[in-house]
Amino acid sequence: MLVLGIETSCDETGVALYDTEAGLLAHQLHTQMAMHARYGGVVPELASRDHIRRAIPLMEACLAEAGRTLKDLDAVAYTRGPGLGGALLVGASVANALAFGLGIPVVGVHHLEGHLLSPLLADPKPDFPFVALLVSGGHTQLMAVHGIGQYEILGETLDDAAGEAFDKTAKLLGLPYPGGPMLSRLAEEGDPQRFTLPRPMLHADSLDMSFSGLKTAVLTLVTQTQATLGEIDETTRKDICRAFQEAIVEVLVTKSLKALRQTGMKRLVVAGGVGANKQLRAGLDTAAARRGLEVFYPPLSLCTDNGAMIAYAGAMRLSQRSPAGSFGVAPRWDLTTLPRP
Amino acid sequence: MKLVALDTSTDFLSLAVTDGERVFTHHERVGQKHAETALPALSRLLEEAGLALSSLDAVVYGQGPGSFTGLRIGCGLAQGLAFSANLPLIGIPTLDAVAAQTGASGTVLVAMDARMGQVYAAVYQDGRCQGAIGLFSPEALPLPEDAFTLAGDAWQVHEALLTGRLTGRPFNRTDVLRPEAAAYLKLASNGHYPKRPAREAEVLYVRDKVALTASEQQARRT
Repeated sequence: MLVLGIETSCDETGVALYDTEAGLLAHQLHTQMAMHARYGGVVPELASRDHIRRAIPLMEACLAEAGRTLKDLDAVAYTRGPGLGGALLVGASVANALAFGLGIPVVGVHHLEGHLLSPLLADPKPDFPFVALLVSGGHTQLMAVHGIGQYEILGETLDDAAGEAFDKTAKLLGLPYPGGPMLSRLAEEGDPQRFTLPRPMLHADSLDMSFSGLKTAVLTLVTQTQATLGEIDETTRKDICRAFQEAIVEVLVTKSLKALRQTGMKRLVVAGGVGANKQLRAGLDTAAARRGLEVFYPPLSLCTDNGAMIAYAGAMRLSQRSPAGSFGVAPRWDLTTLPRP
Repeated sequence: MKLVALDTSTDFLSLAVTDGERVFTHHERVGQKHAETALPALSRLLEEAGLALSSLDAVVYGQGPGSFTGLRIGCGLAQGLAFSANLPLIGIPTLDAVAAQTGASGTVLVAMDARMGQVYAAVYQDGRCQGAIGLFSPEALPLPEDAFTLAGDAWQVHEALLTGRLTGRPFNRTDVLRPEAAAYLKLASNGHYPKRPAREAEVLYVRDKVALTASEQQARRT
C-alpha cells in the first residue's frame, strides 16, 4: 500500500511517500524558518499562506523522486492536529480533495504520533514497548508507548517546551530567530564549568519538568555579568549558552532515566526537533550505555516536522482510513485519546 | 466548456457545475463549516449533473478577497481536485463575480466587508475591473463620479458610514451581496482568465500586511 503523507501543522510543509512493503520512498520538506525570522516568531497567517503555495510543488517533487504517479497511491494521510488551525486546514483541504478526486481514502494523523513513531523509520528500529522522550519547540513529554495507539503520558513540561526555552533564551542573548540551534552551536565552544544554572524539578519524584524558570535564571545571570564585566563578550556568551544547555540536557537525561526505571522498560526513543541536539544525544547515549539501555533516534532529517512521519503513521493506521469527504481539523487533540489501530 | 466552480470566501458554500449547457448549483449558508460540507455537496452535484471530475475542462475557484481561512479551503480544495484529475485551474477574483451577478451595464461599485472596519472595493466598467481591488476605510472609499450600481455586503455592515457618503449620489443599490459559484462559470467561459496548473494557484488576499516585523515591533515599543 502506497501512502502519501502531508504535514502542515506549523511552519514546515512536508510531503512524503511511504510504501508498506518498500518503506520510505521519498520525502520533501520546505521550512518557513527564514520567512518567520523577520517577525521574531511564527506568524500563523503567514504560515498558512506559505503552506498553500508549497503543497502541490512538494507533492510533484515527491512523486518524481519516487518515480511514481498519483495513480499508484492507495491512501492520503494528513496531519489533522494538533497545531495551528489555519495551517492544518490547508493540508487537510488539499489532502481530502486529492483523495476525493482519486477515489482513494484518507487518514487523519495525530502530529505527535507521527513524531513518536518516526524512530521506527530508522534502522535498526526499536521494538515495543518503549519510553518516548518527545522534545521539540512545542512539546516536551515523556510517554510509555506499549504499541501503536497505546500511549500513556508519564510526565511533561508544566510551562515552556524545551525547544521553546532554547529559542527564548537565544532571543534574550541577542541571537537571531530561531536562536535555539545557534545557541547549541555556541554552547559547544563554551566552558561548562564557568557558570551553573538551576535544574528545575530535577530531584522531584514526578516526571514533570519546568523550563520557564531557566530563562529567567539566564536573564539574571546576564544582568549580573553585565554589572561586573560591562558588556557580555563572545566568550562569556558561549559560556552562558553552555551553562543553559548543560542544565536542560541534565534535566532531560535524568527524567528519561527515571522514566525507564519507573516503567522497567529498556528502550528509550527520542523524537522531535531538540532530539537533533548533539549534547543531548551524547548525554543520553552515555547514560544509557552505562545502564545497559538502548536509545533510538529518528534519522536526523526526520527530527523536525516532516511528511515522512505522517505518511508512516498513516500507513500504520490504514485500518482507520475513511472515504474522502467531510473533514475537519483538531488544533487541540489529546494523544492519549487515540484508539488502537 | 465543462466546469466546476467553488467559492468559500464568505459564510456560504457556493458550488456550481456545468456540462456546457445546463448549470447545477448548490448555495448554502454554512458559517465556518466549509471543510465539513464542501466535498459531500460537490459529490452530490457532480452526480446530479452526471459528470465525472476527470471529464471536466477546468476547476474554477473564487480567488479572493474574503475570509482568509475560507479562501485557503477553497483554493486548497480546487488544487487537490485539479491535481488529482490533471485539470487546469482558473482563479477569479470574488468581486468580479459580484459585479457580474448584478447584470448591470455601465459602472458598478463592488464593496465587500473586509472586517477590521475596512472594505474591499473595486469599480467595474461594463464588467471589466478598473485598476485593482483595493482595501479602504468606508470614509475613504473612492466613489464613481457618474451614476453607478452598488453591490456587495459592505453596505449592510457599514451602513451608517456609507449612508453619509452616498447621500445625493446618483446610485442604484442591488441586492447582490456576495459571490455565487454560477457567476464564476460564466466568467471562466469568457477566456479573460488564464488557466494555470494546480501548483501555480494563487490566493488574492489584498490585505497583505498581517504582522509587524521584529524591527517594526521594536520601533513601536520605543
